[in-house]
Amino acid sequence: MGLIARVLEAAGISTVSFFLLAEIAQQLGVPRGVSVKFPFGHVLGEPHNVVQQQLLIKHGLDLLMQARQAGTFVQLPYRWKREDWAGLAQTQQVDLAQSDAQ
Amino acid sequence: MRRAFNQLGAWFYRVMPGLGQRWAKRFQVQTVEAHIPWAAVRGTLAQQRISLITTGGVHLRSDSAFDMHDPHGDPSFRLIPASAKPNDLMITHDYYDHRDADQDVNIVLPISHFQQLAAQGTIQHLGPCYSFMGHITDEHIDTLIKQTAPTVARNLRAAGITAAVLTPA
Repeated sequence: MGLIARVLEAAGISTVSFFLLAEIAQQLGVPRGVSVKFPFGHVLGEPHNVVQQQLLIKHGLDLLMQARQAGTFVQLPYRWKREDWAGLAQTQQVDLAQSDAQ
Repeated sequence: MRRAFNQLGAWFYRVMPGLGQRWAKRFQVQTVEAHIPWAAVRGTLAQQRISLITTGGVHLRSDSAFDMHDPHGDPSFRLIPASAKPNDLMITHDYYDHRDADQDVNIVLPISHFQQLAAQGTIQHLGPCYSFMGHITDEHIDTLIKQTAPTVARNLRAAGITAAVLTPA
């Protein structure tokens, strides 16, 4: 995973990589990494939980656009099956609306 | 027999997530390099031509499966067209429990979401996507770094791709 990101980035393609195991990604040295402590096979969350998946993707795209140096890593705090995803998504939309208004 | 053993292992990691964290601590990373490659993003998100890459062993139903018999993994890749629908896809990978991903491939390859982002104009374009199989070890790591991953990089460049989103199994 991290190895592929390094090859693509060296070829001039900007990458953002999701990880379940932050330790490995950080040791390997990935250009932009997001980690989440979910079980294997569930990096973007639960099946058909569209709001949850969209929120995680948004974190990835934000990092893609905002990281300014190689090795930027974000560890997301979300807990497996213990978050109110609809509420989180709503809060984020309010935050965005406020930052647009300012 | 080996496949059944691997599938049992994958189940254990699923029911005890802490095992994965312990495994990570013992993991010997092959390439620890101080230098991290960097390609700065140019333009806005709406100008990005994005491809998705997964190591979840996803492939078109019509395509050949990944090799599950080589203990060092399969370093090859499969092309997944940007227009692929979840029902066109399946997963061949014994090293993780993919029953949930079989129900909704978007948890390992978020293709429906990125099709929507492209249709909305949030991103400019969704390009060709690629899948590898994780769990590649020993001599196959070299094949991945020197042959198959560079081939995908060239294909993405040829398709005018500016950025890639990578998701593991």
